[in-house]
Amino acid sequence: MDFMLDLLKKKSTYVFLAATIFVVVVPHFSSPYVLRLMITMASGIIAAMCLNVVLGYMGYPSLCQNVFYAVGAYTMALATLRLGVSPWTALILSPIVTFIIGYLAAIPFLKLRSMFFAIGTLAFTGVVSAILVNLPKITGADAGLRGIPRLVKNDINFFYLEIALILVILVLTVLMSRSFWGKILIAIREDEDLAPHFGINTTRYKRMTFAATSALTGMAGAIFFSYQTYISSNYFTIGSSFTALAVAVVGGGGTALGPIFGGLVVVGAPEVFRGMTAGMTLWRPSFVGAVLVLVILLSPGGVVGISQKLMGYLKKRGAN
Amino acid sequence: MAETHEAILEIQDLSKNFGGIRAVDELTFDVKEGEILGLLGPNGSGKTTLFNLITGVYAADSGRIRFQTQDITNELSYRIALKGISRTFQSTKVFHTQTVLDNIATAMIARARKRHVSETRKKVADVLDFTHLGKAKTAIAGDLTHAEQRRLMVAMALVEDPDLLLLDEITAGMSGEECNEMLEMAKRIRDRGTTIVLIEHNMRVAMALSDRIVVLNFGRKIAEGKPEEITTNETVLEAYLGREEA
Repeated sequence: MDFMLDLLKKKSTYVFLAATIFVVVVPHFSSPYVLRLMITMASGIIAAMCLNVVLGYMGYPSLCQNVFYAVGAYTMALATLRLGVSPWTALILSPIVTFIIGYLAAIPFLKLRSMFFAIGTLAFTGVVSAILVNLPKITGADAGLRGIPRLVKNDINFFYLEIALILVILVLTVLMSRSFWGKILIAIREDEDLAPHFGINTTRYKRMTFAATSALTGMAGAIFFSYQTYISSNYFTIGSSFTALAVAVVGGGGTALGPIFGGLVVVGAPEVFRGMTAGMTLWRPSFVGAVLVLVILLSPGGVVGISQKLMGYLKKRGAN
Repeated sequence: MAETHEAILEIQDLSKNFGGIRAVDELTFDVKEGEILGLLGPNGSGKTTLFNLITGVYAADSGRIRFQTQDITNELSYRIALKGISRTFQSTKVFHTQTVLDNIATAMIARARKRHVSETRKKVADVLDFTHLGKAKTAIAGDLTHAEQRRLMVAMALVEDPDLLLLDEITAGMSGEECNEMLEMAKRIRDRGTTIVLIEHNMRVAMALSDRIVVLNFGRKIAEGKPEEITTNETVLEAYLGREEA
């Protein structure tokens, strides 16, 4: 009973309730366009939440999140279309395949640090993108593969599926950040050369974290392209690999909720400017860029940082 | 007292080159259990390189390092730490954005053996008390004073009771009083039964603390013995003060 009373006193309870109502109710009253936007946004948020662990907690600016999204997506497409397995079986296969690819990629790339790691992973995205284009018999290249079976019939259920995955990742991130694993990742971020002197096998934790977050990103890719029923190499260009990074940074690196807010801004901003008059559409990317730059300039802590500042300001005013 | 104890660390014909520079040159000496061994030598004589070889930061070109009779030459740093060798650094190294407690917790994570939470708490309380950091335990490490940061570095190295502690210029950048406090702490560490190898620039400090001293110059051992023997050693004086022109 006391526990319930405590919950009622907390602001976060109400925020959580509001978010739950929003997530459950809004899709039922949304136009197909808005629902599609929400599904795309949720997918981007998952990729960014995974990157957030690698970037925000572990301090590695990965630019190959897109690769794992692609590996998961193509596992779904190829397993269902070529091997004839059910989409649900493919959904289990995707993270397994992505985990293995993620672990193998981690072996050479995590030997690099900071800028070199970023450049290395960017090149990796380039290589994978070129492979997808140059193996048309397997990947369908830019013409793509059609008829990927859907996991669930209804679009709304795809959205719920993604929300479920977001919640799982959120809980895992919070648990991780409070456990020894989180402390080790922070130690790696703070001073990777110091951590081994306390007996910490940094290589093992880096590789496992990279592979695990890759697997969950792969799952997001599998869900999204099962929803879309069509996949093409055009989705996985070098340029698009920056999206997840933008979402994570704009949201606020190293916070569990950051990528969710980042996703709303980074994926949402282009859509807000979509309604502009025909003559202005060429300027759309500039407006989107301006929003992102503004967020980063206003608060290096991202959207989460801004909202924390705002709450602090409001509390001060309330106190006066 | 040192002579009666067995060697805990054995360095044998150890060499390390950086390009054309021979940083450590066929070095051989032992560290005996329970002693404080001082490593002396002018700048660039290979003292820190030796620490980096012992703790697996660098791979040796030749020679062997044995710890408690196990060969640890070119072993990975984290495995060496797990075997019971801890170290501090010449330039202060702590996790700057974390609290003192989180720093100590991070230092314990991998080395802690299975035990009750109360025992872990006692260990933390003890090490905070030992390093006089009790009042600062919730402070962010980056906000501590230089001396406090260096004590934190010692606390992190010490918390899981290493068998061998390598102290790299613990008094670097400290005032006279802070220096004395640090020397006092080093003695108390030795009294706990921890063997210490310390690098020290300051002759007075090294002489006051060490049971035995090894002097290096250009990566080679030029003298070894009790402090009083070292102070009168011709080669040592020459290395430190230079040859007197006749």
